[in-house]
Amino acid sequence: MNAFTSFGIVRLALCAGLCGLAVPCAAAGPAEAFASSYRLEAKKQYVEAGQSIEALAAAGNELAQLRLAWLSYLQGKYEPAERAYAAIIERSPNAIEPRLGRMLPLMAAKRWDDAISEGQMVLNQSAWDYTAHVRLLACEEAKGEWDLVEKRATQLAANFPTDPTALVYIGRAKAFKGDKVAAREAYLQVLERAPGNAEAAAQLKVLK
Amino acid sequence: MSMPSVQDSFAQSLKYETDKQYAAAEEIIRPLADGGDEYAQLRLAWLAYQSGDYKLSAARYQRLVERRPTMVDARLGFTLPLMAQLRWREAAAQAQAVLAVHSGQYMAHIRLLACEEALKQWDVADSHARELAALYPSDADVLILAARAKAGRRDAAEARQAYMNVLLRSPSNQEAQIYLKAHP
Repeated sequence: MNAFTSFGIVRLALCAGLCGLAVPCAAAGPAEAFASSYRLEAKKQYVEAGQSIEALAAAGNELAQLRLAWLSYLQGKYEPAERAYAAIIERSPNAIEPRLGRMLPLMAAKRWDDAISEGQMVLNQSAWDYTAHVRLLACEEAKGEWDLVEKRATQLAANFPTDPTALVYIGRAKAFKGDKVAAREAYLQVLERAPGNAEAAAQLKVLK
Repeated sequence: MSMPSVQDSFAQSLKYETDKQYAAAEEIIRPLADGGDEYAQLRLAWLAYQSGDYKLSAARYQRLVERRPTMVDARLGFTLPLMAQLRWREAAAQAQAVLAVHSGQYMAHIRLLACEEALKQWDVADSHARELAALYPSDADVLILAARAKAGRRDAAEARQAYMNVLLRSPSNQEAQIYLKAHP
């Protein structure tokens, strides 16, 4: 019997009669608790989404802990979210997801250097983790490190030539550095991949 | 009549693709591909795959891979028509080539796992899926592949557990629901 199941049975005994509430308790079983949490998240009821899996997280369920960190982030509670992700990283230092997750509240709190460190930890393990690269690009852009942005985005675009995101960053870096011709070229390439891209369309009007 | 701009050609090609008019989507960007536009060449390979011409798609991706052996997009694309032709070992080799240069590339891992599953390399798939699930604990796709590997090894108890874990992440997953009903 796994930890979920045994925990569910114990909770079932303790919480009998409570499960008709708007926020189902974990006694309904982990599957129902998670399903309810996803439904509540979809309705932007982040507090209740967290409540429905709180007991599972407290019992050591890592998926529930990850979700609580994520739901704190969605509520704008960046410090608790960051701490929650950090606690998971401490327990599972090799997992990529909590590190990518921790980058989000750090970025929201404008702690760019901390977010960059976390992104680099991901890359140490998974050198071409696309999400880490894109988040690092956002951090480097926020710090105004346009040479780094241009270099990383160029490498990304070379490896993923169909991806418009890297090209948007190349466009931004070139524009910031005053290279209008190269910026236009990058934004034109964005439109080849994503014809409705609003930033590219707007920049092409400005960069003449 | 003036020639459409490059952007217009791609925009039109993407529209045709959305309407499943793959031949038209291809036609409009073929001159660009012939002129050496790499993105257009990638799209031609993809459109051949979409239209079900797997041999042509594989040949097009292969040319791109030969020219740019470290490009992730081309190698990952190449795995698709190979897998569609059940050329599992060749597809696995392409995914492994991505991982050799870009360690940890998520999509390469997923496609390699699918090949290992198709080749019934259950022990390899099981250990591979376990490693990946440790990196991405909330990912349902990895757990589905892990569950299939457990089922392939005839380990019904562990397969059940893995499928239950899938449902925690993706409550309406049909494969997990069907397995759990069939293996109460």
